[in-house]
Amino acid sequence: MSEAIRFDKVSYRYKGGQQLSFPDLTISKGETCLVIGESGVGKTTCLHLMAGLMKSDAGDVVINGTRINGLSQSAMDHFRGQNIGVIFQQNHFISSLNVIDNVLMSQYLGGVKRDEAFGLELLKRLGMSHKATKKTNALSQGERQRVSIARALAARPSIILADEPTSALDDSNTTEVFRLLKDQADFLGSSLVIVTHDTRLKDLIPHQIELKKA
Amino acid sequence: MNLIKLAYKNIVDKPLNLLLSIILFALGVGLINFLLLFNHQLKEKFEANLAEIDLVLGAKGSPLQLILCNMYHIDNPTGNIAIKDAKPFFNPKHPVIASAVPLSLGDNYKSYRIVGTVPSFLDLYEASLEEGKLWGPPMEVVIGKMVAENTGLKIGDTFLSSHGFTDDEDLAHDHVKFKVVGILKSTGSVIDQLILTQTATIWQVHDHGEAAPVEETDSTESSEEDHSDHDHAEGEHQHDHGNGSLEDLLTHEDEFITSILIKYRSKTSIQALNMPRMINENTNLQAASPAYEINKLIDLVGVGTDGVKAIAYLIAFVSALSIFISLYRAMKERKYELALMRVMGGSRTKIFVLILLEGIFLAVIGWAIGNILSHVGMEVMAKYMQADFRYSFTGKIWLQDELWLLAASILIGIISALIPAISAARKDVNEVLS
Repeated sequence: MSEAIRFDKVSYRYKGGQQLSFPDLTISKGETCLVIGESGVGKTTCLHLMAGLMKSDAGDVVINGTRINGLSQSAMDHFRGQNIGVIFQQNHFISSLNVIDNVLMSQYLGGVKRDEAFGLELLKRLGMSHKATKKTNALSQGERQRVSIARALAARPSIILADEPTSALDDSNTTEVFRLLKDQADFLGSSLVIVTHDTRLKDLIPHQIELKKA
Repeated sequence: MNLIKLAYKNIVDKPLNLLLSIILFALGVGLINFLLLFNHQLKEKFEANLAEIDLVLGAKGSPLQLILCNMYHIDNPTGNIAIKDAKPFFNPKHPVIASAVPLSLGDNYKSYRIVGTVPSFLDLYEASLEEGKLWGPPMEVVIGKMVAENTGLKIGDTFLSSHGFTDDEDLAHDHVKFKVVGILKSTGSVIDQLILTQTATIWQVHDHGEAAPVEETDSTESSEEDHSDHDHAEGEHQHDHGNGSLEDLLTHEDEFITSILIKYRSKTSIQALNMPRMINENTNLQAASPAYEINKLIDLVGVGTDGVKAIAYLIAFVSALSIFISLYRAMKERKYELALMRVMGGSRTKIFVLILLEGIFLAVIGWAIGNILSHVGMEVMAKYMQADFRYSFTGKIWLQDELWLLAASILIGIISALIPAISAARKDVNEVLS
């Protein structure tokens, strides 16, 4: 069983009535994949469906062999905590906690054994270990992104989902952030799915899935 | 890291945001707790000083004043009564009265009242000697524990008294000295603050026939009070009241005392129930029932404490509202963090519990501050109240009710946090994040 994510005739209907159908797709374990498309084709919806933050109305979303659209709300939360790490375009943190505690929070909430050494190692790999005990609101935008990468990985998820991680960055930073993400995903042996409209990433990731308007 | 720690960090991270809620809550709790401490001690002291006395007999006047003066020693006497009028109540074969103790007031030493009485007065308060002996001849006194502590009087010491009930050097009786012969053990009742002696002492200090002059208004004595020949003039009756026993006291029919403390043989007998009315209607004495008068007083004071209580509850309610608003606002401000917690695998239940814990923390912090405030406040107030009430209040006691107040505080914290917690838990993550 080498597939990490599979979409099988998945469609989602918005509250307004608009319906989106997604192409069938398969992403293997350890693979890096780009999901691209114009604005409004449902890229974020696609990511939320993969993360189990939304439920498909039809078809199956299968993650690591589990049909997640069949899971209950709490089972889904637990499943996500154990299997999936998510990086958002906007990096939010628990403001009362320092950097390392924010990173370790994903272990606690994911129901994974606390491993501070691993959290610190991730920060070190991302060049952020000197900020471990700093409050998150003292971080620059770039630093926030690195910390949120560390946080997404701290619970050792087998799948990492990133939503527009580079859209606000210049060319050199775009390449750097991608490398950081890719290196950490390879370090964990995790699949990496980047959802973006940023065409600069096209040259870096061969496996691309393009979403089109129905 | 767990939810308790996170809730705590969320509270202390931005203390200013929650300061108002906490201060309000502490104020409400502090006020209620103060009332608990105050009422508990007031009731305890009132009851300790009831000393199972069923009736107080004295001169006509306000019954409450009679009680306050002769049992609690905080008001002035209503006047004096002649021994010949009082005599029937001391009859050991009296069908209704089991025991009767005479009291004579009139002087003080540094505001501590000097009470002329008989040894059975000690039995009323279950008091016993800590050191020394019981008073013997006139001018020998036994002092209460608090008198000893606060005046520094020791056995063998002598002192001059002051006329009346306030410490005033101009009114000093400087012709006769009292001598301390005994100190009582602490009882927690009013006897700790009294100076006891035999009745004749009071007569001796004052002019004959004015056993216990009460107010400045009846101090016609001043002209007669020729101190220089006081001793000589009264030499005649020095031998008279020698032993201070009740029998001896009753032989002085023309002398006066201030009051009689009476215990019934049976509180519920018809005669006992009728006795106060009979006395008030048929004699020139006044009978007052301590339990009745004190309940009346507590009811009156109760109106005051009820008012304060109502204010305290109002503050508690407003503070609950304030906690609710703080948490609701904090929850809105932190909607991204809460959504992220869900993304990281936190269940709705965890979010719900987190907000609830924050409410509980706020309430417990408020309770703790309020509790400390009330104890410190009680301790500070105690110093002022001791002089006014003749009671020693303290802030250093703990009541079981305070734990109930903690439980109630936690409940208020939970209730205030309930709506924010539910709405935080029900939020759809994808709506917040997309």
